[in-house]
Amino acid sequence: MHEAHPVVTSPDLLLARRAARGDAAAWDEIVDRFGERIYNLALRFAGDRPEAEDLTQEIFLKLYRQLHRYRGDVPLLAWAMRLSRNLCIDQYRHHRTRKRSETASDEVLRHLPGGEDPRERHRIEEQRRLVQRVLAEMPETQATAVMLRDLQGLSYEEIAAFYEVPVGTIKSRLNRARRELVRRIESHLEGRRSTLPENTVMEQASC
Amino acid sequence: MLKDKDWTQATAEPDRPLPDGLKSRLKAIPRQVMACRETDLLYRAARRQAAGQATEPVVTEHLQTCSRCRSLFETLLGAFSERPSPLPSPLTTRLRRIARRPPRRSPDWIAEPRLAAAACILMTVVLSSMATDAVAMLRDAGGTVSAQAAEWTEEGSVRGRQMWKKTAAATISSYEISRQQLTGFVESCGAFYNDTIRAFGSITNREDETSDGGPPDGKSNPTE
Repeated sequence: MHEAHPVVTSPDLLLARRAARGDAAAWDEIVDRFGERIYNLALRFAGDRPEAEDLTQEIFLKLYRQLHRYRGDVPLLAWAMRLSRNLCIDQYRHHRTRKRSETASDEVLRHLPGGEDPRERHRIEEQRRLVQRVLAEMPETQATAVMLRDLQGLSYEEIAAFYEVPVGTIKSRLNRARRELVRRIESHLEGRRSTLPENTVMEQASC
Repeated sequence: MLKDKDWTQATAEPDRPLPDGLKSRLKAIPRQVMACRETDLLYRAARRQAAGQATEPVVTEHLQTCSRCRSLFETLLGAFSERPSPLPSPLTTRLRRIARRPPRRSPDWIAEPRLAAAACILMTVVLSSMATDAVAMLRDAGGTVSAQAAEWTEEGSVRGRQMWKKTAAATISSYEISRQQLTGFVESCGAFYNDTIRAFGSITNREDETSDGGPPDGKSNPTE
């Protein structure tokens, strides 16, 4: 008796099945399609380039080993990110404890806008460092939600798949996280303003 | 001066509808003025600008007059304007090489950590209870066992069985695995145990045959 096979329609599922069977071209396509996004995600969680490269490789190794389990119910990228969650979170915890007291921010700063103007670049670097520091001080779930959505540009659905929670939970978590981020940045900026000379403060009087 | 009579007359007239466009102009008032506490507007505007979209006029207008909000906006904009890093080419090569390795699939129960942990605990208990059956095995094989050794082993066997039950119950509750999964595993362990005993018995018989000079049924050994 023949076993009934479900009809495979999702292109992601077809690609995953081909790669799981050892089709090198299919695997190369997966690397080409998702490599950069997963690398940037790893960079965000790891903080520096060598660790991000190792983390990316670990994620892809795990993905390759688990490809035969993919059922096509979510997009392959979201599924890959769900698989990588524990690796990313572990790396992030390690990174936070290491970097919390440091001010230098790493590889990501090299890709800032600002052109060749050194003063402009310095100003943007300062802003980036401030946001990094504030994120390191925030509760982990809030900080990662902001990172994934606002700094990494993931969709709500992708973040929900990453955490395996409903989209509504992500939206409310993100709302709280954004308010908290703004509150903390404002408090840092206030602190800076109070250390400025008096005439500068007068110039910067707010509404 | 307006007299009471005129006022009464004026208010007694039916309400006239709002002139065209006035209603929408009134409704738009909150959108024309932004307060400092509306940081969600500022946040959204920073994200929009970082994505190359136009900033809402109400935010632009507010930023021109409020330096505090402007520095917050610029900080957010700096963070959001980060460009994605390209995938380094040596890393791409390393990632592509992953598929060139032979695929390795572990059994499903190993892939499930809870079940694997439970399996390890049970295997330990199975092995210890196998050791407590040593006396019976030795007697079956015609060996001699002292009374003291038999007593100790019997005691150990009873304790082993009690431990078996306790461990199984603890494993089920601690690792949240189903009784069916555990039973399946125990059955497979039992089958393995029986096969081992059978194999051990056949080896012993073969050794006996060799030492006796031939099989018990009296047939000659075909190798001789």
